[in-house]
Amino acid sequence: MIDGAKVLALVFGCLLTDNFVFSRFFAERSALAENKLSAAARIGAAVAVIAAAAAIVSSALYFFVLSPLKLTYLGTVTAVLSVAGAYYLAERFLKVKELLRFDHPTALHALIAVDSVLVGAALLGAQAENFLYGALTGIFGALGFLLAVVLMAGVRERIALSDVPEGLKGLPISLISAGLIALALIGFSGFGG
Amino acid sequence: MHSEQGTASSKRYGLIPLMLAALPALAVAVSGLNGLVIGAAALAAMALASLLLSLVWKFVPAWMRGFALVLFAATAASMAQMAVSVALPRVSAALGLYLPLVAFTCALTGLPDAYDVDHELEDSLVRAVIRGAAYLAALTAIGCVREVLGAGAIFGISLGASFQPMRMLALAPGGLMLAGLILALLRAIQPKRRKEGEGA
Amino acid sequence: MKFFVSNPPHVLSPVTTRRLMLNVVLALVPAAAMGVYNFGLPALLVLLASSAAAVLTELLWQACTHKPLRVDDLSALVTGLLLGLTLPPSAPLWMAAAGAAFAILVVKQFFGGIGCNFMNPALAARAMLLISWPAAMSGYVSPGADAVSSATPLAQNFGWLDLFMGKIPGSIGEVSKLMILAGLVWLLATSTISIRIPLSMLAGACLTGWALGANPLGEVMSGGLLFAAVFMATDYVTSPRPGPGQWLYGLGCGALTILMRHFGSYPEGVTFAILTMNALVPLIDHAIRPRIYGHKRRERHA
Repeated sequence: MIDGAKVLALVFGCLLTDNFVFSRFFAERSALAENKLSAAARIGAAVAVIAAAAAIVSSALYFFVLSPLKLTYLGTVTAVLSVAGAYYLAERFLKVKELLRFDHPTALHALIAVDSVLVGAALLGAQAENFLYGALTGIFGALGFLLAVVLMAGVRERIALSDVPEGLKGLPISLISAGLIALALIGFSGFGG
Repeated sequence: MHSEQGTASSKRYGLIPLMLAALPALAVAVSGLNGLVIGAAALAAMALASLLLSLVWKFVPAWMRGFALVLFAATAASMAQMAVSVALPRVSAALGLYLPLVAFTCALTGLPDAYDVDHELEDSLVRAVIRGAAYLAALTAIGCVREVLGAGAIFGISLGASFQPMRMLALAPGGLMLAGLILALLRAIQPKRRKEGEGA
Repeated sequence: MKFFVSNPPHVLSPVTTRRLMLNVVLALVPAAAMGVYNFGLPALLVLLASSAAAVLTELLWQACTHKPLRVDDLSALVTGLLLGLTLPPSAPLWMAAAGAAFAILVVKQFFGGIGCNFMNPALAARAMLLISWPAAMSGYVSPGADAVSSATPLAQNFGWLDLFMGKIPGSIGEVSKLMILAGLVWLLATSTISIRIPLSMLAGACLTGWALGANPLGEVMSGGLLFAAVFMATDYVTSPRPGPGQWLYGLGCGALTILMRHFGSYPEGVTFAILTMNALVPLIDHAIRPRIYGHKRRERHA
């Protein structure tokens, strides 16, 4: 039932070729705006965990609840709700609020708006072929996201010492760097499959 | 009062935060049609979410506010997605999950902050439509540029065999680099507009 | 006031950027000459186009942004020349120029100019050209008067001498391994580069090739591996600080090249392999700190 080759292709895909940040563009604050490597790793890990959890829940809800009940058009709403749920759980158990530097009481919607990887992962989880693939996409995609965050933070640390032209400072040069890294990662297409 | 709110508003509600929030749209804005459809969906979702919110906000208890914002945005995005999948099934399939994702994120970004909402609800619908329209224009433009330079066609009409398009622009690396350049461009023209007293 | 930050030890020396770059240009001359000899006028034109475009782009940028004109440090020329040498002789001139402009403008100047880029400009431009115009970039032409299109030598069988001397289809500068080695000797003799990165890269490639059951020597002799090991991976700006980090970097480049050749869907692996390692360099430098001059190894953490 589990197609090993397909799983391998999925894993490599989520980690490298269809990377959440460099290929799927689920990139924002954590991926592009973190400046210190250590902080980035922690924040990236927190977001990754929430994203993976959201994806798993969303996938489960879609395949075990919505599909049988023919309510699949609610997929987007359940994806978003999964993210909300995952976030609240993380807030409870992992003390992520301080980590994510939110002191706003309605931090949830700020977080979602700013890190589209959460909803993106959840939606991907619901759109896979079945629950297993959805969950795997969520987990390995989140790992790929963490990889992306760390890579970008390393590059940003280096950029901080550079003489970037005024109009490009900050987010624009980060995006261009991300584009260059995406260029490099294209070499991995075909791996695992 | 308007000019004070103008500068604060443009930081929070301007085109730039919107484009940032909807960065994923650039993954699929590889053709003029795609850009148009996603922009339209985002606009619809933003307007819808604002409308729904303004009708019901008074009844929402304080502790549920953040959650309510998220829920309304999600509902609006779902409705936009359903509309597109019925009207333009092929495009909807091509856009995949980016349609609901972008529609949702735009709707959410467009909704006023939970604490500002008491002052700004009346303006919010109008503002949502304006910003949505700006976003629609931007995405369509980006889509057209990427289609022309990246695939040698415009809205599906090919530009001739001798034109060799630069395919990277239609792929992820080109999209990201283009995003950076566009952002730099928007930033460059932004201060001028603020001086003229506009908040958009 | 701007303070120039660099790693110790700080020693005043007659080495200038210009001198280093000049050595690189000289090291490239044998490979370039062989390329032009093998492929004729088209090759020469490609080299001229990419070099001129690179220098011109840098000149224009520095003029328009009111920065001091530093084109005479020859770094733009080196980038242009390197890019040209990795292109097939049949490449359209405007593509070569576009690639060079991309390399200088986006990969180098947008980040702050010389010393500030994190990715090798010539290689990034090569990758950009490869995915933008795949057909034009894969047109391998056999050397000699008859310009016959053929597949990359990675897909064919050639005699060892042909592979070594360069009478095979391929990119302008990458085919003659003998000339590349001549360049390597010059670079080592003038202390422009150290043997660490080329050696570790080739070692990584051989080990990975052997592990995968391929012929290690064959892997080294085909494609752009040798050229990149000598001229691309050794770029100061985009490689780790001198020390153990460079060994790791080289091994990674070599290993990834072979992996990409065997498992990836693109015919040539070394370009993307080195670019990926470029992205990892900040992390490598973070993790592996070189021994501080004057301290014994054990006392470093005290």
